[in-house]
Amino acid sequence: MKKTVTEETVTNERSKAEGNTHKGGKGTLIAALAAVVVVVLLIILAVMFKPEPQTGDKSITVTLTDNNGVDTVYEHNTDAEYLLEAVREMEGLELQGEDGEYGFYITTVNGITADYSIDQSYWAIYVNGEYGSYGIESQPIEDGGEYALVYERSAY
Amino acid sequence: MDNHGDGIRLSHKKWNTRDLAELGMMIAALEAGKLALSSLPNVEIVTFLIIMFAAIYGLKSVIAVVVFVGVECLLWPVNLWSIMYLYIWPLLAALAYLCRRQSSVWFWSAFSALYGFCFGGLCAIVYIFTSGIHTAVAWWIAGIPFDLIHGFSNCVIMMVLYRPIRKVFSYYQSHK
Repeated sequence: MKKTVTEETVTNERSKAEGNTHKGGKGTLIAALAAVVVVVLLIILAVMFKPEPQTGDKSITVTLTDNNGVDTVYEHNTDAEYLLEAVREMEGLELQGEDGEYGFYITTVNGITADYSIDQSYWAIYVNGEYGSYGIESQPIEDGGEYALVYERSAY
Repeated sequence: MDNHGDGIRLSHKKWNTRDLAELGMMIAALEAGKLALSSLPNVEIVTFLIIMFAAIYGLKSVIAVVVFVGVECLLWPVNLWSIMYLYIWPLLAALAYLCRRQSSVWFWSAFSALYGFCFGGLCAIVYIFTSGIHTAVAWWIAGIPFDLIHGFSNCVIMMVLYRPIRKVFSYYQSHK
């Protein structure tokens, strides 16, 4: 009996503490509005800055930097719109990988495998000298573009 | 331990066995939850769990989150993600703790969605220091589609699980 009274007291106190918030209220409205505003802003930004692939013939350079830091430069003319497609067309550049959570993940280039789980190594993509923000599958290419596949190890 | 409404606050009193058991439960749930959904891109239950723990256990959850990040660093090679985790999850716990009086499923669904939408932007802060503002912004914008999936999946998880899990915790709290 005593236990039941305690439970009721706790429940009543909790209900009082919750007040109107149980049904929603000002806080809910603010959070919901903030979420909607952020979604709209994100969609606008994503659409505004979406990289558009170029159509037609393009001349590109792909530099391979292997696990010893040795650079090999490949030049190629292509109608491909994305880097993965272009690299697969290139002679002397053999690429292997797997479809992961975020698209195609490069594991091996010209027989050199980067395995993050063993030594924190990975194949990084650079676009015109800057660290690429997209995977090789979704990286658009442009005429005169300079791309690099670099064997790297995480410094962290 | 002092119990104030739904939140349990740390006091000057020493922790007892129950506190340690609850801490262990929170860490184990976070780790198991993360591993269980690790195969699904941008769908995770860690946000939900941290929010629930912060709302129910208060500041104790922040300690659980810090230990969880430590366990992650032991399980996986330390990299940029580890640095992001150091502030992303404790920040979520702190924000949820500040909003602990809220008990509406709609509030917490909007809150968790918002955190998912902002996740990429918060993670990009690390890139400002390692690669510069240009790379950080480019990285954030490239990941917006993933942030949108993250936010919406957070919202759905909260809407589905909030009431049953809250009920379990309320029952557990009232039977101490």
